[in-house]
This record gives sequence, structure tokens and C-alpha cells, in this order.
Amino acid sequence: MSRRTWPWLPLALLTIAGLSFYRVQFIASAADPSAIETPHKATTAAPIDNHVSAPLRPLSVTGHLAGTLRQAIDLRSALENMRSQLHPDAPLLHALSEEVRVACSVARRPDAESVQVEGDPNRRIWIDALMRRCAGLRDADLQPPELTGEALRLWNRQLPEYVAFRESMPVALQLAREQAEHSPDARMVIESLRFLLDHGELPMHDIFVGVLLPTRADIEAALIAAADWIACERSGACGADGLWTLYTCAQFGCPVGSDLPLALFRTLPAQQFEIAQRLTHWAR
Amino acid sequence: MRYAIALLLLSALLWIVLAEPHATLRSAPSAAVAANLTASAPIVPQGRAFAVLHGPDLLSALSQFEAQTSPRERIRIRVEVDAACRVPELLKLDGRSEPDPRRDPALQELLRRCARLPVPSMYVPANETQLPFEQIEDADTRSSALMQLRQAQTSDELAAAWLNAYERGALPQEQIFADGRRLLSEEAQALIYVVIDWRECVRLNACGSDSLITLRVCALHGCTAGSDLRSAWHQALAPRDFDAALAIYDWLLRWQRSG
Repeated sequence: MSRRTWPWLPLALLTIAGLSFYRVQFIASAADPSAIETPHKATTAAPIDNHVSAPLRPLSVTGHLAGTLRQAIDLRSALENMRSQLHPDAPLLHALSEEVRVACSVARRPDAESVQVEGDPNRRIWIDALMRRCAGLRDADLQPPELTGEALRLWNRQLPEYVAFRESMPVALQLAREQAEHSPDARMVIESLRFLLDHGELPMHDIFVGVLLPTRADIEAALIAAADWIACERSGACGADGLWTLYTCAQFGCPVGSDLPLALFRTLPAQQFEIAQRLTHWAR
Repeated sequence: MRYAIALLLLSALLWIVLAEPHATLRSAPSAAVAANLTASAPIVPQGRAFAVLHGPDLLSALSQFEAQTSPRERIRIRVEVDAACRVPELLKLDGRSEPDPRRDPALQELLRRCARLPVPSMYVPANETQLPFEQIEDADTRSSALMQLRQAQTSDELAAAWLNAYERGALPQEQIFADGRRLLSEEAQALIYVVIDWRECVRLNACGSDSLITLRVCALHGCTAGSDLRSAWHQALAPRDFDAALAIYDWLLRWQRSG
């Protein structure tokens, strides 16, 4: 090796070796399969976040009545008791009868599909609990109600859309706000929330503080869950023994002791759950 | 001599620094996982499939891919492309026209990539309502349904074999799900398509935030910026469904490997 090449050749070789080693290490670490996120490595969902933080208002008279039925062990007796306390045409009576009919149909009149999940322990406990509550109901109690005359008129008078058409928009908006803030009837809550949403009267910036505003379609998709949650809170019946909890868990399956918020958390996509939760907090 | 050494050094440096490490990085684990999934499955030419699912010029990448691969692989990639490029139309049909920060970035990217392609047909055979199966539930039928599931490779084969095994009562659901749950048929159908997404993304090395598969899920369901496919499905599904999809994915891997 000549004196002119002596310092350069070893230096070049050393540099190439060093850089090659660095490159191999870099590729090896980046291509390590354990470093690649594959679906089966995903963690399970985080536990429900702070869904009962806002203080609840005391139950109203109608909320208390609804709660008595929604937590009753014997639904037939509870319905008869309700009929003795409310006017036969009272909308709340029809709403609660319909709730019982819908919930008990899951257990008493299962569809063909339900055979597939008969052995599911996550559903079984809730179906059995519903069966016990619904056992005494007559077939007539499981028929869809037919509203006529005064009962139908009173029912329609609760619907903001109907009132807007028959009376005026300001009266309808007032009614919608009133029901969204106070009604223990899930169907009236949803009708009212939807009416406010459709007419741009939901206070979106109050409800969705600190997050991007969801689209109307996404809010719409969360309304049923929100209305169930709001209505069960207003009757103090969101626990594991509440009718809506039994109904939801009999359909989708829940761990023992779940309440309605937890059941919704498990059965809704994260964004839908958050919208329902925020609507519920706002409605308190 | 000194110039020769300098030239050697410069060439080596260029090779080390500019030799596109990303292609190597992304294809290596995917090929390894694909090989684990199915010993007999053809390995997709990763570079070309990668360009189709990630490149800015979808039409050119697709043309090149289709000219150089087998008809079977062509169909598999085309299914992914059509499913993604169908989404803007689906959203339009769904009346989603208002600004939507959770969907718009993915939607805009899909519109850009799919712009030069014809709008895919809205006909999706997999979504047709299935007629009820004739219930023949002897042990042989169940065993044959499970064998069919073990051998299923493409998305269509896997979906058909899974649903067939479900309908025959052949799926060992007590082994698949730790909590003992049983699936309704709608759940079985919806979840297998999530699992297929995950398998295809691993096989095609396309689980990242910029792949067509992830863009499709984000544009349809909405997701946070930078979500990869796992995260996008995590946001789109209810926790119980996400857990179920994970359990099915893992069980299918084990079942097919054990054959």
C-alpha cells in the first residue's frame, strides 16, 4: 500500500462498515413484527368515563310513577296499579304500557333468530329476569295499543311536529323544550330532541363543549340511546333492575350487574356513546 | 487511487442513504404474517399492491398491477379499490352533505385518488339477503363446514365459509369468545367483514392511515386524524363488537394454522 493511499483506504472501509451496520440495525428494529400494530394487539375499550358526574334532579311525580313500574318485580300488578292511578286516556299510561309490551316481547315472544343465542350467558340472565317480571302479563297486554278518541287527541298534543302544524312554531318549540327537559317518557324525549335538532334549536355549543360539533346524522343516530338514558334517569330506573336495562341487555348481552349507561357504553360506537352522554348531561 | 476510493465511498453512501428503506420496512413483516396465515396463499407482489393501495395515481398503479399479476390477485385488489371508491357515492346517497371533520379528510383523499376511475357498481353480492339454510346439522356437515373454513383464503371464500359454518351451528363459539357469548346472524355477518379487513390489510401491508382500506373505514364511519385501520375500526365499532372481532380474528388464525 502506498503512503498516499494509506490513510484513505482504511478510513473509507471503516465508514462504509459503520454506516452499513447502522442501516441494518435501523431496518431490523423498524421491521420487528412486535413493533407493527396489527388488529389482534388492540387493547380493549377503556372503562366508562364519568357518566354519572352531573347531579340529578329530584324525581317529578310522573318520574316517580314511571320509576315504580320500571323497577317493578311483577309488571302485571304494576300496570294495574298504574291504571288505577292515571286517567285511562293519559298519555303516560299508554307510554308505559307500550314500554312493558316492547320489553316483555323480547322474552315472551322471541323471534326465530333468538334460538341462535339461547345459550349465551350474557343474554340469558337478563332474559330470565325479564321472564320473571313479565310472567303474569296477559296476551292482551302484549298487543300493540290502539289509541282512539280523546286518548289519541291527548297523545298527538304531545308531539311537537303535530303542534307546529296545528298551532304555531313557537308553541311547538316551547313544548319540545319542556319535554326534552322534564318528560320521563323516552318517546316524547326523542320526539322533542329531534324537533329541536331539526329546527336548529338544540344548544349545540353548550352540549358539545370542547369537542368538534358532530354532524346532524351522527346526533340523529344517538338520539334513541340518549332518550332511553334521559327517561330512565328521570324515573330513577337506570340500575341493573331497571326495565330499559333488562331490555337492552336481553338483546345484546351484558355482564352481571350492568346498569343502563354501562350497557349503552358497550353497545354503541364511542362517538355515539359520547353524543348520548352529552345530551343526557345537558338534559339533567 | 485517491479518486477511486472517494468514488467508492460516495457510491456506498448513496446506496445506504437513498435506497428507499420504507419499501423494505413495510413489506417484510407483512410477507411474514401472510406466510403464517396461509402457507399455500400466493404472496402478493408487495411493491405493486402497495402502490395501488397507497399511491397518489391509483389508475396508473392499478393498470400496472393488473398487467402483471394473476387474475385471482387482480380480483382481490379490485375488490378493495371498488369498496373504497364506492364510499363517496354511498355517503352522497346517505344524504351526508354537511361538513364533517371526522370523515372529510378521508373522503377528500378518496375523491382525489378515485377521480379518474369509473364509479364502481353499487351491486355488492356479499350484502344480498341470504335465504335461510336448510338445517342439516349432523356431525359430518359441521366438520366439513369447519374444514372449508380452514382452507378459505380470499375474502369471498372466508365470508362464505364463516357464514356457512355459523348457519350449520359448526362454529365453536364457546372457544372463540372468552365470555361465552353467542352471535346473532347479523352480528356474525358484520363481524367477519371486519376480520377480513384486518387480514387483508396485514396481507397487503396496508394497515396504515394512508391506505385505501383505512380511508374507506374513516370516510364511512369517521375517525380521528392519523388513525390506522385498527384504530379506525376501534372507533367505528361498539366495544363489545370490537372485542368480538378481535376474538374471531385470533381464533381464525389459530384454526387455519392448526390445519
